[in-house]
Amino acid sequence: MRLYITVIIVFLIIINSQAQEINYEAFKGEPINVSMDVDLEGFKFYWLNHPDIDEEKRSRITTIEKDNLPYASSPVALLTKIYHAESKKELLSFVTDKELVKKFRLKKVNNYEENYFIAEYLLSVPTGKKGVSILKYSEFKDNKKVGEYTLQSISKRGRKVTDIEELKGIEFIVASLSAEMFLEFYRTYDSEDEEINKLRAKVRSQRLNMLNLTRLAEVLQEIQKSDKTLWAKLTIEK
Amino acid sequence: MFKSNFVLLLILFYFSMYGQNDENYSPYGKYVEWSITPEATYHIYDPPFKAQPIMTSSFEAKNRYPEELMISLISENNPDWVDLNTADGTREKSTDYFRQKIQWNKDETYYELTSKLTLTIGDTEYAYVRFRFYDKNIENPPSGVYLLKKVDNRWYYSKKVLSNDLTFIITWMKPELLGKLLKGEKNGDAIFDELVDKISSNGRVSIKSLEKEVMAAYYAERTAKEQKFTKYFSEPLNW
Repeated sequence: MRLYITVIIVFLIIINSQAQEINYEAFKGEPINVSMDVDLEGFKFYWLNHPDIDEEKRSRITTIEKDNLPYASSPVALLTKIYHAESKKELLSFVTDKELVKKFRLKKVNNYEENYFIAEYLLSVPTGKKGVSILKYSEFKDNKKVGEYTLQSISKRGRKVTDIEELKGIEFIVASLSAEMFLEFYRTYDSEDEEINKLRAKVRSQRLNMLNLTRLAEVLQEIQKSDKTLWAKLTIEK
Repeated sequence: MFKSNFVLLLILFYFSMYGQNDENYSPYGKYVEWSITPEATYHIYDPPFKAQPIMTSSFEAKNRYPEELMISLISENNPDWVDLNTADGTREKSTDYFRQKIQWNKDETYYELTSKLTLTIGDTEYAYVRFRFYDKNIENPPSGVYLLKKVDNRWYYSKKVLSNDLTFIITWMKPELLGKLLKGEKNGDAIFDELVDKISSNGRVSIKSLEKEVMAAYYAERTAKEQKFTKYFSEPLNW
């Protein structure tokens, strides 16, 4: 009799535990193909507060001494390390993909006073846990500006050069706009320039009063193709 | 009394989401927007999944899945457990709330999950879970949506707002119609197929266009005599 009752109890326990067992994997759902606009929370317009850039809004990369850290601790430090790299092997430790090494050529610089980079400004974009930054910098040779470049970097065991396709639009904005002009679009109050205000209306979401970077990139690409005068106004440093 | 408290809570929840827009107002703006193509899934619970208060302590709350978190949320019975379930801020719960919960019977008070939209943005996974709240004191169970967020393999109730309009649409729209819209599938009804055409291109559905079209139609009909769009797409919220 006792055995019979025990069997019944065990049976009930098993039935009950099975009832409690929920197969959560069954609720996975079907993949859907969507696009959406999201807020880039924590977005920073970095030149406002980056210690390497804030003081005079610009900084000669070469004046930052090469540190002894085995990794780059910031986008500007990353550019410094790339600039000071003495071998391809060293360069490889600062990129996420071997292909990206081709972007940089090892340079022998004799006179750091006349040949240098200047960090113009930096946009920092959080993408989940890994923050991606886009640094705009200019190259100077014999004290003359010879080019403007952008550098995408990501925190990955130290900061490394990366190339994220989805951020190409932001990179285009950074590469094109002067920092002052970016602020004209970013801030919430209108500009004194009516032409800029017309563009602001196109690139800001009215309901949320936010700058939409996707629309800004699209509008800039359109202007680049169709309106050389306006393009120059937006992109040439004052 | 309980019903009116709950409805008030839902209304406050809804309007508190809208109130958060004010935070974005600053001379330099707080955030910027960016268009992304997130990994996404849509699921209709068939049959609806009952998230009942069956956990007795926070030790049981592993929260490995959104559904497990929903069970944890309906089961939580002390402030520490509430904190353990919450990300991006805190949820204040009164002693009365916990006292009231002691009376809850798992067969009478529960969330009935009807649909789930998951979105992976950057490295973070989010889930919008739509539910009806059942309680013996409530005649018509009200609908709601929680935004849940996965952090280090554990799901949390998130106080973050990804999109107020999307939250509203998930709450307001019939889940099966929203599922078809998000897949860009037509169903032969002119009113539906026209909307599919407006929000999709090259096999991809724009959530922004969905929000724009649905909210415009919803607001246009609010004072109209004939509410064709609302009648076709919406499910009673019972708020």
